[in-house]
Amino acid sequence: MAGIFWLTCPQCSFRFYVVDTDAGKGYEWFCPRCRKEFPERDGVPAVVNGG
Amino acid sequence: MAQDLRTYLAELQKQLPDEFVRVEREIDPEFEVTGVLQKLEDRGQFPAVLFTNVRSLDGRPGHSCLMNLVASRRRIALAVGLSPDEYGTELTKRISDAAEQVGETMTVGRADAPVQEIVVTGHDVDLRSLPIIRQAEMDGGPYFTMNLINKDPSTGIYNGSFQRLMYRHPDETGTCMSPFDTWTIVKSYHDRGEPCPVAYVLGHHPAFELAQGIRLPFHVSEYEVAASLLGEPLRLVPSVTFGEDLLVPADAEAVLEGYIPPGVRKAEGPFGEWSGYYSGQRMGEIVKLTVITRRPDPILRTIWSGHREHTTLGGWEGEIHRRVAAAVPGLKAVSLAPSGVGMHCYISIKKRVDGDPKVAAMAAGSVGFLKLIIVVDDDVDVFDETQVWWSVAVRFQADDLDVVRTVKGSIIDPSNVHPTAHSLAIIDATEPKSRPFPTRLRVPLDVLERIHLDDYVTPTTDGKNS
Repeated sequence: MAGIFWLTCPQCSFRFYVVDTDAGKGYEWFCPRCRKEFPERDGVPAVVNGG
Repeated sequence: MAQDLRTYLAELQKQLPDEFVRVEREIDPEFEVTGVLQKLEDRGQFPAVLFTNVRSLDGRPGHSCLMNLVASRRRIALAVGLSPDEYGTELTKRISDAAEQVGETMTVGRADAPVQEIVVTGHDVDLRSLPIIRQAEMDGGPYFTMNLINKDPSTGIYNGSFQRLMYRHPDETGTCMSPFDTWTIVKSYHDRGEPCPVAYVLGHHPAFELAQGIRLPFHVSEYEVAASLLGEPLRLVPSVTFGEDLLVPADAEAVLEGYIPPGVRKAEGPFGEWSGYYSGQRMGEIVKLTVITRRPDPILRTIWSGHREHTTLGGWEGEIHRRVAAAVPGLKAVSLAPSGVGMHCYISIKKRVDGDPKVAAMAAGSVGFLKLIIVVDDDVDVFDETQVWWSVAVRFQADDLDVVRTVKGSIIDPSNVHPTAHSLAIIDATEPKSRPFPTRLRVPLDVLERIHLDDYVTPTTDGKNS
């Protein structure tokens, strides 16, 4: 698997990760819990390995 | 009558009643179904579980979902016409033979196709009417985890595989494809700028499932292998969307029809995978649905991802057996070890000369995906991991470890450094032929023949021996 890039949902603070080969390319992600779609820049990067 | 999921369930309840559980209480598809399965697993129990009162995504109860069906090699043996006790090498060979001597398909009309008794089209296509299971906490949504069918545009050969589909919208799912046959066919269409027609099978006889999980050569159709495993022609019916251009299994429980459009990728995942970890959210192709066909009361199959049934379905074992048998005359048995979630392969051979084990290992490695191959002598039972690792302990030195780097593998393995490849370790744990080697200890055979245990050990009433 590619590496992982942790994100925190800007709406509900749920933490999840995206594959790092797709990270940093301006894609839009969605929160698995609240379904909010957001551009990567709005997802607060979490501590590596989830803190 | 053609074999289908229902004929198998009847046989399962007859032959292995202790391996079947029915849950009639109303239950939610979001985490509750897998919650029940987790509680059973925590007790060390892995029965097939038929939930008969699952709510659909739009909240209506009464739907049936079947989980854990193939979490036991005994149940898989039963599915391919063997006795449940023939779950070892007999099962491996049965799968291997099916790939060598494929069966036939036959096309029937819609009136003879239970799966098309109900046809939903146009704006009525709404996945929320189905009980799609949400399995693990971080999953990106409810997921289908069954069989995607497509057809090579150049040769017309059908391909089938297990593919996860994430619910996105009432008529749309996400996908996550590893670079194997399904992906190759999708890419062929997209290179022409065309959408790839697909069908998604939500439940059929487990022999059909098994065929979709076999790592077959590209030119071998999973449909024909399914027919061989079933022991009868696989009945197909023209799809509602694509007609004769895409045939679908007539005796399935439900089929989703649609296409994968070129140039469209959307976020999909995370999803709890066979590795026991979540694969991350990624950009993947989507499926746009056109039609849902089903029986009036479909039993929808879902593989419980990341748990026993996900890796027990040993279809690759048969293909590895076929390839190794062609390379080494003395093959005895092949086992995809449960502990290796499909990536660890044990092979036993009657070794003729030093070098045979490496040839066997390279043949096995040609299927891709494997990360560890251990070759042992034929006195070792490859279905007993303790015996295999004993052999490693006493017949192998780490100096002789071979590592093949950057082998095509799964994109899901969390330890991968490369996105699509991993390293393969090969251990030759056979006795050397080129130098003297000690003899295995044993009690003299003539003594074992005259000793009858009941003459010395008396069973007590509580079942324990005195």
